[in-house]
Amino acid sequence: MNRGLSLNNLIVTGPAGLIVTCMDLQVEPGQTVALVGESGSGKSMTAKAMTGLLPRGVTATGTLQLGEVTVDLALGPQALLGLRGQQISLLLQNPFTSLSPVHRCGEQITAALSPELRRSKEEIRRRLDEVDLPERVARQYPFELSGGMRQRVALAASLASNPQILIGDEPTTALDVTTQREMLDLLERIQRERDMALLLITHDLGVAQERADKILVMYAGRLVESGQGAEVFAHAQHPYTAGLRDSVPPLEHRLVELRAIAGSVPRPWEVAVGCVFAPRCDRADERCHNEAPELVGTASQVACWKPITTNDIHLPVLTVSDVQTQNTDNELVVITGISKRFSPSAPLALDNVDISIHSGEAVGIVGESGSGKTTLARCLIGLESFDSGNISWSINTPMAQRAQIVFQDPTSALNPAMTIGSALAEALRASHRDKSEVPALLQLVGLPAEYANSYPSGLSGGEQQRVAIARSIAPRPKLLICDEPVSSLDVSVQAQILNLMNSLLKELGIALLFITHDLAVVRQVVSRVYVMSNGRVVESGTMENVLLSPQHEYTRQLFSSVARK
Amino acid sequence: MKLRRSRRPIIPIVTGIPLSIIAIFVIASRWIVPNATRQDIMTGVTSPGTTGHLFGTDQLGRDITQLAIAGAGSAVVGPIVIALGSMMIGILLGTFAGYMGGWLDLLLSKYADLLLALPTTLVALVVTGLVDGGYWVTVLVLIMLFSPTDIRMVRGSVIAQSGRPYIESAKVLGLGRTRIMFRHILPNVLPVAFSTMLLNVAFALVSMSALSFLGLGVGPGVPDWGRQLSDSRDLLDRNWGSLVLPAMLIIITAAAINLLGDWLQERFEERSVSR
Amino acid sequence: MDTAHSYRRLTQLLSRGSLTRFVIVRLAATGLLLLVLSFVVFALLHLTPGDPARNLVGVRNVTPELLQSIRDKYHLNDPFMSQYLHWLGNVLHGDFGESIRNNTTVTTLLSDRVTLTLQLASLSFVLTVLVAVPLGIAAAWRSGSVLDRSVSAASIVGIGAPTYAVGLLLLYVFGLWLDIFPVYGSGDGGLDRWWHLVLPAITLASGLAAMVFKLTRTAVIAELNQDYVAFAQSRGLSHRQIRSLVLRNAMIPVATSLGLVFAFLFGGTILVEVTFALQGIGSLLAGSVTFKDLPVVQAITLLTATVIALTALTVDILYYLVDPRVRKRGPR
Repeated sequence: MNRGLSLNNLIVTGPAGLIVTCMDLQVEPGQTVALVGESGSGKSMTAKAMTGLLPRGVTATGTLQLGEVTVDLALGPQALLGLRGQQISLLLQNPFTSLSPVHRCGEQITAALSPELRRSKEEIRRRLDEVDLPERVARQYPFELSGGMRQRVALAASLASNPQILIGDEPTTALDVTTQREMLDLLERIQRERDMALLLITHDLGVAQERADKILVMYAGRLVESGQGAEVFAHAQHPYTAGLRDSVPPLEHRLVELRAIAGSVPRPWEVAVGCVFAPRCDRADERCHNEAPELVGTASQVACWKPITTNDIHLPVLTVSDVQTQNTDNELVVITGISKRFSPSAPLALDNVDISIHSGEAVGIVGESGSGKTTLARCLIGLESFDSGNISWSINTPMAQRAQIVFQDPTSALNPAMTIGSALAEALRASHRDKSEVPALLQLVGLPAEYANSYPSGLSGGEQQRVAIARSIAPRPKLLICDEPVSSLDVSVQAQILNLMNSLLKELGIALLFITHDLAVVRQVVSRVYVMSNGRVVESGTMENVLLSPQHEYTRQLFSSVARK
Repeated sequence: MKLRRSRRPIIPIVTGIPLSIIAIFVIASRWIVPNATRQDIMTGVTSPGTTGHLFGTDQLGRDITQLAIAGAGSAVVGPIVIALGSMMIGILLGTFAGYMGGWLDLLLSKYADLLLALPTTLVALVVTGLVDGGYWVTVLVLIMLFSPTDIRMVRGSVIAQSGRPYIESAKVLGLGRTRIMFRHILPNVLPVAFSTMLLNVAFALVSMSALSFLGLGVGPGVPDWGRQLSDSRDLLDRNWGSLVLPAMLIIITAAAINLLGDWLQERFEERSVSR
Repeated sequence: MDTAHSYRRLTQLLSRGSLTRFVIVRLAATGLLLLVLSFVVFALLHLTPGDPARNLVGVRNVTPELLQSIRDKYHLNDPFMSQYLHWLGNVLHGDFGESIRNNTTVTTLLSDRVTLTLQLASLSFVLTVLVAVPLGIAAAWRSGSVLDRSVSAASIVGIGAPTYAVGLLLLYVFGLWLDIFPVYGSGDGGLDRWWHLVLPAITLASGLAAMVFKLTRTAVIAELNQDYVAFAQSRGLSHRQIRSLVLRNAMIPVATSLGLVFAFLFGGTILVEVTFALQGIGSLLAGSVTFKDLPVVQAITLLTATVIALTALTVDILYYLVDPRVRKRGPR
């Protein structure tokens, strides 16, 4: 009996045009298949189409084979009634919104069961036990649980009717690094125990490489490459797959420059003719621009006219030593013993933190959410007050020329009612510089001068972040603070921004405070790092030393969870 | 993923037609119906369809249609002034309260709480009734009654904007408070303020005509929809036109403005979400 | 021993997030609000143009003796604050003074009329809830359907349409033209009373129902767009289960909006009572305002505020009981 899943010729159409084109995929029982792609690649829409959850105005065609049953997706969600939950189930990304806030967890887990089983204490205990949760969770509300625990509750709920196929749509993306790994281990164990087919939808190449038997790469609504596990990236045939692989910053060493893919991901319906990747591909020729390639191959498949072969010359990867700080003893700013509490009943957000930054030095702060890293940055820049401690600057210029900040979400960091040009002109004027420098500023961050007349909404996320960076360097600050500046960007764009930051540091000679949860990212930029946890600095030192011999238990935990996802 | 649907602007067209006709009445009624208030006791009440009187006449022999056209002015001008005035107060005080916080914020929100504890109709009735004011006093009273909700609305969106990173970036750049308030926050609050103002015009129209229905607001003899309605109660059995015409005019005008305001609000919300 | 125990019991009751503490805090806030309002209402007497004593004489012949007796009775020669405290003391004992127009005590006047207003208000409230909430849910569930679009369009007209205009139109069509319902008056009590109240209640409910419909629809649509609905569908929960999931969540904003509607309900009764010539509190207020019958105006204003404040309090407590997030974390 065939118990797996087979999707044939899926086409998803939205009001603006095609979202997913000619998608085929198979998942066998006990097998993990990862569907990888950047935002807008159509991977989530594929999952929604398979579970009949497409938003209004979006339709799908194609056939879905679930075990013995064949479903015509054109018939809409009706065709999936009786199959959802029983055959196929979906685990969503955000555990904070995927459970009803006013129902107890136990109720939600067993809702799909028969009325007798629904009330059985024994059944609930068994279900909670499977996802490593204590019995008390049954009586608790979702808001009383941590993110990781909520996602376990959601997992237990999605498994309630014992489906043979589970789709995980970014099931660990909203979780902290250490929790992420536990969740993935749990998924793997349950999949093995139940001999279930698992389709993992993720933007995280690390997760896909570590956990999947088979990987499919999507780009702009199309499948561009597929193959066995890590092989897909190790021997990438499609230039996009290779580009994606090279965009991921490695934890093991620091690169002189990441090999980023130029440009940004197009909307699927904006692609007229030819290969979808051709506009960003440096191997593209006439045919690539005019004719769309088909997916070909047996064991591994690729949709490319000019796939990369073993004969192609591999450019050597240039790594640099981390210790390249021109460590003058010239301290720019010294933070001593800063403490902060947001409310009398809350725990300390910052607990006696000491940090120093030298002129022209790139320093990182690493920690998970709630570690106090962002609060520290906000105190340093003056957006937040602190209860005790001291910040002393070695320079006497106005605050705006001492430090500037770049935030995580570029969209909300720019005033939607202001053109790029006037936003930059304002930043220049604020430090008594002339607005004639706007074109030069745009050029510095790699944007054409014409962008001065556009509004932020007309720019892609990566371009918006470039503008935000341009604005923050406009007053020529001595220190640039970046708070998770690449976390909301796609991998290929993230590499561009990291390269830009490295070149800016060299060019302007300013100091950098880089705040992130991502060790591999910070490795590519800074030379010295502080590790924070629960409002305290638990470890500090040069990047290399901390990486090679982490001293603190928390740091070790952080590393091991990144090293193997 | 953004899924934009193309939509024909059907609402502005549907609401635009009645609203422009009313606007013409307001501006040009003195030329269209110069003799609207001329009394003709001899004629007295006539029913709709009487020669020369499409909707009949009232006790004083005044033509209902002409009176309704002449009444557009007092029905619409006051509400527009109310909505404008109350929004101006709302923007001024709401922006300060939202951005500065402190005692001003506390005072304003308590004032709003106090006024919202009672139905607007009741307060308007009691205050205008007791001070014996005319049309413009009523307008003033209603501005005072409308402004707390506007202050709240503006304050709320100012607070929502102030927490956004672009405002924090502006602070870090060392820009002054006034510049941040008027150059950064206000332009992003104005669209919502505008659609709220439209909805307020409709609400004020209903409130004003309710007051004149109760015998307050406009003076006797002045053409006004609310007063026409109030008068029509004694004519119901003889001339239904005296009821139907002003009632329909009020309902259509209020509904058209509401529809337009709703539509605008949705558009603005969509835009701020997609940003 | 005992005091220590009761102290502990007390602190337990008042601990953060406990219902008792919640109720006490909200009661105190409501009391404060009413106190401030009572002050404003009292000040009306002095804010009204003219000599307060003359205003209180009303249409009677003004003689120096009468003026003096009124000044004595209302303590008008005392300092302002002591006048207020006198008045407030009487009010708390249910004494609002005497009506200027009717030569009876305000309390008698009100008690004669309050039943009708309460009957009208409750009938319209029930009508509103019975019609608007189910329609709102149905429209949200099938948003974009013919049902949704037609009811939504009607609700926009309903929200904008002034109560008295709708009332007069209904009066004309059903009272005069079709002659189904009585035109004016409050009926002879019993069933006849309710029969007389049907048209006024429909009138009052039309505006309220439009508002409640819109709020319900928005609330349910907001819930339907939540991730937990998609997640429930993907797990194969039945239509009925998903509906109960959504409704339980949407109930919280809907209950809040029903509380808010109360304020509009009492504003609306004024116009409806005047339109249909009903002898209730609302028409009494309208008449008293025109006649400057201040004691009556003060009494009605304060009573309305009290009813609305108590409703708000009830809604808050309901909210507390329905939403586990508020319950566990304490009032915001």
